[in-house]
Amino acid sequence: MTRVWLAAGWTALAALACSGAEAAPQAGSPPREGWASVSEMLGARCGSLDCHGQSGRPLRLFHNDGLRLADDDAPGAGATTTDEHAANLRAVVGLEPELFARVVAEGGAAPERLTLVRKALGLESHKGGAPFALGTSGDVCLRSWLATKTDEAACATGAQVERP
Amino acid sequence: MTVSSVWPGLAVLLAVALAFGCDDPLRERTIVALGPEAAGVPPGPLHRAGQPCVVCHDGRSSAREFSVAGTVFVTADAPDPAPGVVVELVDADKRTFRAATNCAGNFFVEPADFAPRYPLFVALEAGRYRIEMDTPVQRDGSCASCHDDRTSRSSAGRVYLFGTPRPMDASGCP
Ligand code: HEC
Ligand code: HEC
Repeated sequence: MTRVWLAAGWTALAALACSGAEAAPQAGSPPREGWASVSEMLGARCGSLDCHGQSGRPLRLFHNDGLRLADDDAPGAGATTTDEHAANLRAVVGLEPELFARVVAEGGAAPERLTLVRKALGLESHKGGAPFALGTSGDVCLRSWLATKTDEAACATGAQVERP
Repeated sequence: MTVSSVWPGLAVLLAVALAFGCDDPLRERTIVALGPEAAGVPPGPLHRAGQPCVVCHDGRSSAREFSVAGTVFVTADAPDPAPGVVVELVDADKRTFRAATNCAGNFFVEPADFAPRYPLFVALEAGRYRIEMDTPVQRDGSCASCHDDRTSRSSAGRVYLFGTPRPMDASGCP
């Protein structure tokens, strides 16, 4: 038990050291409409426990098959919760709150201004490579959300991780 | 502010930077947290069942490098090893590799035999019985990184073969 607590302590400290405090989203800036399907997609594709489903990451995502927010939830059990979607929104917007607001205010134009989009496309150094090739459902989902007209179908397709 | 009052602050910062810089102190901490070898089990194929093998077996120490390794238990709620289980690994290039668990429930794969391109899909087989992990592994070759012995916010619990206990053929195991 002590070991667990120690580990938790270390993780928390490492999180502080590596990521800085989480910034609050700017009022009204992030499109909440359709966010749940975007959050599902990001969680399924990027939020595994060995990627962004790790505490201590600047972009930390919750998902039903990854890291859980509530102490009595476990990876692989139940659905992603509303609280988890809300936390994901804070994490995503908190990366670059002002820039986010600007991109959204400009109807989602030039989304590559956002580190999130550049990393997803692999345009910028990213340990996870280039998970969303240009024009694939994950990319379409993200762009449509930034343009405040979330393409739910693209998000649903993008969330599928099929066994070969 | 005097030098002597600044210094302790700097020292703490430096210590924190050294300890938590994003380089790889995590590896060191994780290894320390895993503790010493269990009494009576020498370092080798049967040791450290249930632990994240690749943390140590990562090619950066004397421990032989593994690409994928872990432990399979009979059920999720007890540390009883499941020997003779086939661990099926299918990578992004649709290459399939099969490893088998030993008497400790351990299996390990060397990069020379199979260095998967992620994502990596995993399934377990024992005779005609099969259980699949639905989501793929994205990066971490240690099953136990996500399958701690306790289910939690960040752990899916032990890698297990059966939902409810069934007899296992452990002939040949001590
Ligand atoms: C805390 C670090 C650590 C962990 C965790 C760990 N090992 Fe090891 N392992 C070692 C060391 C150290 C050796 C001895 C290497 C040597 O002989 O110099 C070793 C040796 C071995 C060997 C023999 C290698 C050889 O060269 O013959 C095997 C096989 C092995 N371990 C399998 C595993 C498996 C499977 C797991 C996970 C269930 C695991 N180990 C977890 C550190 C570790
Ligand atoms: C990145 C984290 C992660 C790693 C690494 C990982 N797993 Fe999993 N595993 C999960 C999660 C989360 C679940 C529950 C959801 C699912 O089935 O995908 C799971 C489920 C499973 C299941 C199905 C259990 C059930 O109740 O149906 C099996 C079997 C399994 N894992 C085996 C393995 C083996 C063997 C390895 C090592 C080769 C491994 N896992 C590595 C996260 C991981």
